Amino acid sequence: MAWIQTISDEQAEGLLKAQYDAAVRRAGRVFNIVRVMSLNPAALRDSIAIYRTFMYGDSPLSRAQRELLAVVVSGANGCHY
Amino acid sequence: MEAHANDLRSEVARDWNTLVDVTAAASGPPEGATLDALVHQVARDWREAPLSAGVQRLLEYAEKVTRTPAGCTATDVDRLRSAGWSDRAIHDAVQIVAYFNYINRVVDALGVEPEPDFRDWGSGGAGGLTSRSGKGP
Repeated sequence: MAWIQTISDEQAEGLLKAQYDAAVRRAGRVFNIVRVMSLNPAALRDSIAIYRTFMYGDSPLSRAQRELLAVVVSGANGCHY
Repeated sequence: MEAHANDLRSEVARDWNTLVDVTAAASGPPEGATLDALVHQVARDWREAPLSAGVQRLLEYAEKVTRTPAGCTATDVDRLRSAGWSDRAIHDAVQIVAYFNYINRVVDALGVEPEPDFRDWGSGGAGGLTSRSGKGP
């Protein structure tokens, strides 16, 4: 699923397990973008935290305006995600 | 892009008046197939979508920050202010643009595969409906 090692749901422990459990609560499963960071659980935790602040936190930008920015940037980068 | 096109679809109807020029909008938020068509249009080429002038200025800056970041100027930021954006809104938008440039590079450089059930918005194909309700990862 990626070009580096990743850790399965079953093998996850400690901070990583807590992050996986939170991902399942939010989205129903561990998305590939979450799992790709599994070798560094602190980086995973902080990356998700800043994502949630930017995209769901208090802002004068509406949710739709923020998602529009995400779509336009990913499109300009030719990135599927 | 697909993950956030899904999120966009779920938010567009609710936040419709934050994307378009409300006084020019003939009708209320789009639904169903009309909403799908609008999200396809944004994903393919947002310049063709019926967005407000302020939102278009913001997206133009998002593309400039993405493609030619060293070319950004104070004049660009002044233009956003003239379009009605507060400094806080400009800050938040630039952080989001930078975040997606970062995460796009993580995806591309480490071979992160698309989620199999994400809908393919950008190529115009109907794809399968996403299994989720529009929450980020």
